[in-house]
Amino acid sequence: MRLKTMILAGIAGLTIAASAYGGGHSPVSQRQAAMKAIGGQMRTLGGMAQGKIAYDDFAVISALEIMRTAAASAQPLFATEIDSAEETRAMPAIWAADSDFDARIGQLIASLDVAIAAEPADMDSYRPLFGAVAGTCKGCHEKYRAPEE
Amino acid sequence: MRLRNKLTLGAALVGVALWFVSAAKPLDPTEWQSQPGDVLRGEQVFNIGGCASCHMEKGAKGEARLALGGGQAFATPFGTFYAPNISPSQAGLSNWTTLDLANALLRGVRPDGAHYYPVFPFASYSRMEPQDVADLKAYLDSLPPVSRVNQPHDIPFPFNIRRSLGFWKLLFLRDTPVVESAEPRGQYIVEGLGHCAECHTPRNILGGLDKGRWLAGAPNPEGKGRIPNLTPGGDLANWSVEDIAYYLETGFTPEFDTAGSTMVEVVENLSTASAEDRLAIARYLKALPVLADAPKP
Repeated sequence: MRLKTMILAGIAGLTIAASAYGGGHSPVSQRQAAMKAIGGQMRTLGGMAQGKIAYDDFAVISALEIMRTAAASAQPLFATEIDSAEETRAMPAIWAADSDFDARIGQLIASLDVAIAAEPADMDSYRPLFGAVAGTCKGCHEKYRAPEE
Repeated sequence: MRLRNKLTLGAALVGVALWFVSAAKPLDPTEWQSQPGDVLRGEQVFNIGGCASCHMEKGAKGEARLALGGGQAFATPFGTFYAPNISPSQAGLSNWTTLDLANALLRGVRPDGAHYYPVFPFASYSRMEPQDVADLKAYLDSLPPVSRVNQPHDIPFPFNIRRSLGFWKLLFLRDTPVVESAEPRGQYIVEGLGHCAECHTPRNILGGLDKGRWLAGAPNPEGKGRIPNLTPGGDLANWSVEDIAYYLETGFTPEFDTAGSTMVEVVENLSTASAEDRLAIARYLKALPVLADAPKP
């Protein structure tokens, strides 16, 4: 089960990653695609945490793996500030000297690793793991994402 | 802008003419009735009322959110206001009675009889229950004293004439329900204690809430973007009651996007409210008169 889970999740992750980061896009739109991919998985994971979607441990691991792939690919895309006319909600504070943005993406990835390694079999073990992942989204958006126009 | 100047000048003149009716109208002490305050209930009132968001130091987290020394600046079209110290110290409320607090919250009147500016949302708090005021007082008294003394507001003429606020109150201060609702608890929180309309309802030229556009969204006073429409005519059309309650608890939208801007603070406060209160808010919002979003400027 563990091996099959990993293989399937890996395939799913690669598929999403390939479609999200296809060549020819600017770093800004690649960043946004990565965040969208993360958001899409959060809908599945959050729906299960809310009890709106029936709990499925396989779907959880798949979603977490995809999020991890997307988060890991987003991290280098945020490494330097890009001077671009594209619309972005990324705040300049991300690239300020005292920024902890990179550490925060690191925390997201770490929280995903913990959740994936735990292989939560039921809702009770899943909920706190999901809470830890979701908390990293919120904290970072609060600090580094501008409000919508 | 020229129209605005004319109107504000007009308002100031009328304010002077109505000097005699512009006096502060505190509560009648003989009619004030409340049981001794309960600290735990007061904590709920404090959180739903969102007191910390404005009276703590900007950006405070954890325990520091309960150090209510004030000092945050609020830039408005009428001038810049600085939040007062409401901690139980000499610089704060240590000499206040429960009736003093009730006059502040329900009538917008200071202990010395002067008017508060409506940047302090007494035009919503006016709907608060006396017992909630007493419980809140008990809770505020239990918090750490902060000695900080804050700078005076920076307000240009004619808005610096506090007396003219009596006129503003004649126009805009009500303690009656705004819309008909079958959800009394949700109505109490949204229209009163939680003062949601203060940001989510647009204001007229005198700074009063436009009740014809009740909770239909407003320009963001901090500049960027718009404050969302909470009626079923806006983005909440597709949210269920449970979706709204979950958002108020966790800050996640049904799309699992996160709350932004000042709503982060509101969610932090409401996440400590009871699940039933969050559902009551949601039911009130879902039953609001449907208003479409204002056209984009």
